[in-house]
Amino acid sequence: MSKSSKTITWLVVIVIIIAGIWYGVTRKTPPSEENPIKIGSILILTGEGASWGTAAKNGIDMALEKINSQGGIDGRKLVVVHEDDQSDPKNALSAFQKLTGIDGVSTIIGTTWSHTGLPLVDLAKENKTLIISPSLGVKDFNEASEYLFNTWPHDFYLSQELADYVYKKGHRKVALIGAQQVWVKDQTNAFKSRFEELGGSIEVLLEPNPTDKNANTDALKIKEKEADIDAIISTTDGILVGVQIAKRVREIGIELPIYSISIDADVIAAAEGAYEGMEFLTFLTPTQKFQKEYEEKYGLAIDIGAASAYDAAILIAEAMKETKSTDTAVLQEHLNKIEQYNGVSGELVSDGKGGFTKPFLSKKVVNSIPIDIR
Amino acid sequence: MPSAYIIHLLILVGIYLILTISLQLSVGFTGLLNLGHIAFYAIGAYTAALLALAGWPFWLCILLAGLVAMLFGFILSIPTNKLKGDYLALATLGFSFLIYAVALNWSGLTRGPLGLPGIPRPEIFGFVFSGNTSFLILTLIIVLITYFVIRKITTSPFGKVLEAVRDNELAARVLGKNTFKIKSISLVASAFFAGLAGSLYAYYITFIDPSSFTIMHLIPIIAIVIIGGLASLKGTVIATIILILLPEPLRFIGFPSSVIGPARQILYALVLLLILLYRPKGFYGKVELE
Repeated sequence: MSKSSKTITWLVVIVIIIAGIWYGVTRKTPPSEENPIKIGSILILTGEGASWGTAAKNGIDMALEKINSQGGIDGRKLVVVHEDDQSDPKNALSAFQKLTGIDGVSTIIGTTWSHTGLPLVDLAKENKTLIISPSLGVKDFNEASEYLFNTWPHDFYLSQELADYVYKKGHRKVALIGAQQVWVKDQTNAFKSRFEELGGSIEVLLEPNPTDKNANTDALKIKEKEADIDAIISTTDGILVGVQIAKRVREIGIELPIYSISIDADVIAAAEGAYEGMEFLTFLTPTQKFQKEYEEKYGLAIDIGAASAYDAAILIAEAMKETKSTDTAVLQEHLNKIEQYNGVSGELVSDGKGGFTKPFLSKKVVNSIPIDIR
Repeated sequence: MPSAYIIHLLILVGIYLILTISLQLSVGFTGLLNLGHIAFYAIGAYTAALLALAGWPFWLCILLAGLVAMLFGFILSIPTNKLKGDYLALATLGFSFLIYAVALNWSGLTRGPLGLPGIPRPEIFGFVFSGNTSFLILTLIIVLITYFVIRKITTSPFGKVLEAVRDNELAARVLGKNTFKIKSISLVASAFFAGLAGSLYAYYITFIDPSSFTIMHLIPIIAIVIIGGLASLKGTVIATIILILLPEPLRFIGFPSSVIGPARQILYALVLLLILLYRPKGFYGKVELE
C-alpha cells in the first residue's frame, strides 16, 4: 500500500469514528407520546466497585418501575440513561458531558465512589446539575454545592461510632487495619482520632495497598504486639486486603476479637471463617420488604448502593411531583428543605448540607451469617 | 449542549497527544522502552496541583511541573543508562511503581488516597480558563508546541543521532557519540512534556489521586505508540485520535451499559492484536517493536 493510500485509509477510519460520534450527538430521538422525563446515572458498572454500582443501578431501575407503574410524574414517564464510569475520573467526566450535553439530563444519580464524584463538583455547580450519590461517603462532595446530595452517610460517622462501641466494650489498646483507599483512609483516620480522644491507643496501624495479596507481614506485625493489644479493628469494609490480613491473623493463632464496619455477605464468605464472631456496625439497613423484593428480582444478595439509589430516585420523583417542576434550582431547594425521610434504606436525617445520615445496625457474624445484636 | 461533550473529548485527545508524542521521542526515536512515562505524568500532575492549591500562578505551575518531571527523568536516566530492552522496561516500570507508592503513602504532601480536590482552573494575566472552549484552545496550543518541538528534535541532526543510538548504540559510541548524554536528553525531554500533560490533566479534572496514575493507565499510552508506529509522529497523532475516540460511539449504540465497559477493553485489545498481526510496524512505523 502506498503512503498516500495508507493516509487516506486512516483518515477514513477517523472520519467514520467522528461520524459515529456526530450521529450519536446530533440524532433526534423519536418524539414520544408520553414525553418522558429523563434522568441519568453515573455508576461503576464494570471493574473494581462494580458490585456497588450494579446494586445502585438495580435500585434505580426498581424505583423507576414503581414510579412509572403508579402513573409516572403527572402522567409523564420517568426514564434513566445509565453510564458506566469504570471507576475512572476521565470517564466520569465524559459520562457527565454526554448526559448533560446530549441526553439533555439535568438530574443525575451517582457517582459510586468519591474519586469519580469529586471531579464533577465544579461542573455540577456551573451547570446547575442536581447530583445525588447513593454510596459516595466524603463530605467534600455534598458540601461543595446546594445541588449535590448524598443518600449514603459520610464514611467517618460509622468509624466514630465504632470507636465508641469498642471503647465501651472495654478495649483500650488495639491494632487498626485500614487500607490506602480514599474512603477507608477517611474511616481509619476517624476511628483513630475518636479512639485516641476517648483515651484508647492504636498499638499497630496497618494501611496496606488495596491490591496487596500478601498479608503475612501485616499479620506478623499484629502477632508481635499480640500481648499488648486486646482487640483488632478493621476499617477496610469491602476491600479484600482486610480479609486477607484477618485470615492470616487467624491462621497464625491470634484469637483476639475483631470489630469492623460495613461488612456484607460477600466479604464474610471471602473471609472463610476468619470473621466468625466478629461484631460490626453497618449502614446497610434496607427494609426487609425491599431486601426481599430486590433479592427475588435480581437473584443477588443486596449490596451497598441498592436501597440508597432507590431512595435517591424516589426523592427526585417526589420532588418533581410536589414542585411540578423539573428545574434543578426548584428541585434542589425542595430537597434541601427535607429534614427527615423514611426510605427503604432507613430513616434518613438531613445534616442541612446535602448529606443524609441514618441509624446504623450492630451485627455479629454467627455461622457465617450476620445477625442483629442491637 | 452537544458541543460541550465534543469539546471535552477533544481536550482528552489533546492531553493524550502530548503524552503519546513525548513518549514516541524516547520509545520510537531513541529506542528506550520507557515504562516510566506514567510516573512523569503523575509528577507533573502533582507538582502543578500542589503549587496551584498553594496559590502559585498557572504559567509557573505548568512550567515547574515540566521541570520537576524533567529532573526526575534525568535522575532515572543515570541508573538505567546501561540497560536495554526488557531490563530497561523493568527498571522504568519499577520507577512508575515507586512514584505511585510515594503518591499513595506520602499523605502529608499528597493526601495519599484522599487525593487533591479543588484544583483551580488556569488563569493567565487575569483571564480564567473556566470554560471548556478556552481550556481546549490552551490545550491545543500546548499540543502544537509539543508537536513542533519534538518534530524539530527528530528531524534535526540530533534526531539522526537519536535514531543511530536506537539502531546500533555500539556503533554510535564507536563514532564518538556520548550515548549516555544522548539518551538522557531524550528521556529528559520526553519527561518534560509528560509533566506538562500531567499538569493539564490536573487543571482540567480539578481532582487528582494516585488511582489515575496506575500501570493500567500506561497501557493505552503504550498501545497508541505501538499502533501509530514507532518513530512516526503522524502515526502517533492518528492512533491517538482513533484510540481515544473509538470507544465513544459505543455510548450511542444502545448496548446495556454493563456491556459497553468490557466492549471498550475488547476493542483496544482487538485493534492492538490486529495491528501487531497485520502491520507489525503499526500505522506508519519505521522500525519494528523488538
